Amino acid sequence: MRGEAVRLTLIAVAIRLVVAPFFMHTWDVTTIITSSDQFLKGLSPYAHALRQMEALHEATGLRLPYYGFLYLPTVLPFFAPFYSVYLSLFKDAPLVGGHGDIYTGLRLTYPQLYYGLTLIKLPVILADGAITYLLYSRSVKAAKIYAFSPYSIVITSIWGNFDPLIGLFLLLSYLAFERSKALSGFLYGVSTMKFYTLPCIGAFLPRLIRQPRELLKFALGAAASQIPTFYYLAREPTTLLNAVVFQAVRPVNGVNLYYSMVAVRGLEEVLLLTKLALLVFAGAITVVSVYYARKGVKLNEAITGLMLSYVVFAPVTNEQLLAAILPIGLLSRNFSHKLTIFPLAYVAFNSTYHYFAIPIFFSTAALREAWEGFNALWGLWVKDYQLQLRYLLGLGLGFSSFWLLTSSPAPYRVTLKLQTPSLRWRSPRWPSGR
Amino acid sequence: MKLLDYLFVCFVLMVSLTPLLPLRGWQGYGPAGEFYYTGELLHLRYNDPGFGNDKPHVFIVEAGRPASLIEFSDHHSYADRFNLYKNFTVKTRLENGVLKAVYSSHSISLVKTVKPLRDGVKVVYIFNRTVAFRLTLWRWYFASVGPFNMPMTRSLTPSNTINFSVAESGKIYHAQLLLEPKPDNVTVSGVLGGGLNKLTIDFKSENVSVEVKLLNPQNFNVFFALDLRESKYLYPIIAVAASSVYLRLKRMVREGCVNEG
Repeated sequence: MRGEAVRLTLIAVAIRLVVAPFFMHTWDVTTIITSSDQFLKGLSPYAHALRQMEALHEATGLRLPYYGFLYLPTVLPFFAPFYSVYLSLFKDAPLVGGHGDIYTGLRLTYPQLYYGLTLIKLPVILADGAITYLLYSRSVKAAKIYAFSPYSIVITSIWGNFDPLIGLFLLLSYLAFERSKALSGFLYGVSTMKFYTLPCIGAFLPRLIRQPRELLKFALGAAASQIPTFYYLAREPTTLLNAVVFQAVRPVNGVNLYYSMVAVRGLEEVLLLTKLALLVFAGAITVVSVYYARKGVKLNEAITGLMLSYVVFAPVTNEQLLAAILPIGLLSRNFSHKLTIFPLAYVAFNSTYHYFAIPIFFSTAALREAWEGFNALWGLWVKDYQLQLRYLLGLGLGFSSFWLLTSSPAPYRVTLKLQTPSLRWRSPRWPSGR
Repeated sequence: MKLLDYLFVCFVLMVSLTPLLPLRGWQGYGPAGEFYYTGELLHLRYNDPGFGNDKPHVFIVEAGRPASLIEFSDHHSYADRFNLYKNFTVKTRLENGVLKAVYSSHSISLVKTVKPLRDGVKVVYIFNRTVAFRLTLWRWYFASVGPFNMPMTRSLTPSNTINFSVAESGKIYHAQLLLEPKPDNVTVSGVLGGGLNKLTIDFKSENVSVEVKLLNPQNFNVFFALDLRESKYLYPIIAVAASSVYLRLKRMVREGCVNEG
């Protein structure tokens, strides 16, 4: 059994490792590389993000968001060591200018880029391996689905996002909950690195509220996970709070039912609509939390349900979000891995299907020319419909998730069905002859 | 549960109508574009500081969808060989319905104003001194520029007006560039297999004014209404279709469960 689990884990890791060097989401990988570099040099990624926002404001007079490193600092210890390994091997950064016009400002260094991409994706690839291993002992089918999930492979190795890391910590928090509340709280705290697992507190709290000692242990564990956050909060409260505020009020985007709002050509109007969507979202999370608490829904299904509520109602649900739900979702009855079809297709229409293949196509002049050719074809065939196609996929995910959300989750309390024993008197049969 | 489904569908349909909000005038936009102007006949898009194209991009609007008319490019425009995109720092502000972009470099400064008109737009460049200004305008593809429609590099006789046309959804739109002062040189070029796509205009002046004027703005085109590319009306149509599928599937599953039961 253990040998089989290890074998499947190694296969999952190997698939992701083979793909990792040649693809990237240029913007997001740049964010991780830049922030890791700043962290290693003792510079603040938050100060950098705030400066960029202020520069945008200065240049335009508008409060335009800058999509840089605006997560909790608990992310950095996962990536910085791997980037320091890269820096010990190579002098030049693997890529420069990934937060600008990729046609004119992007500079890639070959072959260092391939090593850089492998190293920067390694923590997430290892997380995928850990998820596969953990799932195997609970459900072989779930482990196999995860190991070979095209969506998981795309998010980890092609896009290079770190949401599977969040999925691992959410899964670990659930698995540790019965054994150690402090450990569970710590792991849950780590999973909040991108903020969107915060609504899951609605799944933990009802189980802790009547046990103050356990609640305290969970809270202390969660607080311990936030030591890097407290450090930045004490050192530079303005810049860190800027990241928090940004995540709270960033304009509608992603694979969701709100995607039609991207066609609203007015920043103020979109921000107002986002606030209304936030109200609906907060209401939905409250209702679902209370409903699950009253019904006594299993912890994994309550977490999955709350995350599905996030998928349906949150104003921003990027295509990688489902990677954080997939591990725990595969152990829950109110989830289907088929949901990943929608964000997977969205990825294809998000930044043109060849955007993620930049590392390959920008390596030689001939391939670059081919890339430009693909770009022209994309413009001719797909570009005019891509927003509407993405909206359709957002609706597909929204409706499917809502369907799962409103399907009945299993109660976790054991229902005792007491049957009153029949007390009919039967006259004893005496053996004949007695 | 049935009521929840209907409430959710109503919510989805409401959200799908948001692109049809009757917004008019200049709006801050971002992050995929800096400013957006919504007019009766024309839309304007002015791009982020990080990009050199669409400075501004003029669109014709019919049947809820914008179609490209012409694009001003900073990326391919020069003042005394200094590239407007690469060699200047730019600050952009909206002032009394006019978009004002202030460009500065170590030797040249310029103010570009973008003023929307009912059937066009006026873009004015005011330099701090007389410069050799090369302005580049794009469209994939022009149906014609002046007397030319074949994708070959040619010079046009310098004049204060340049007529051009674009084809969209089976209709030809005629427009005119009104230039002040008279340019020194005008070149049109294109790509084989595509068409004319680039108009290069050279001035030697301190002030340059370029007005884009749509010449046949009134004719509503039935083909345009049928052409749904980038149309805002597609959003509610998609929402109605997706909602119908959802409700239908739910009903089928429910009926299936009842029958099995």
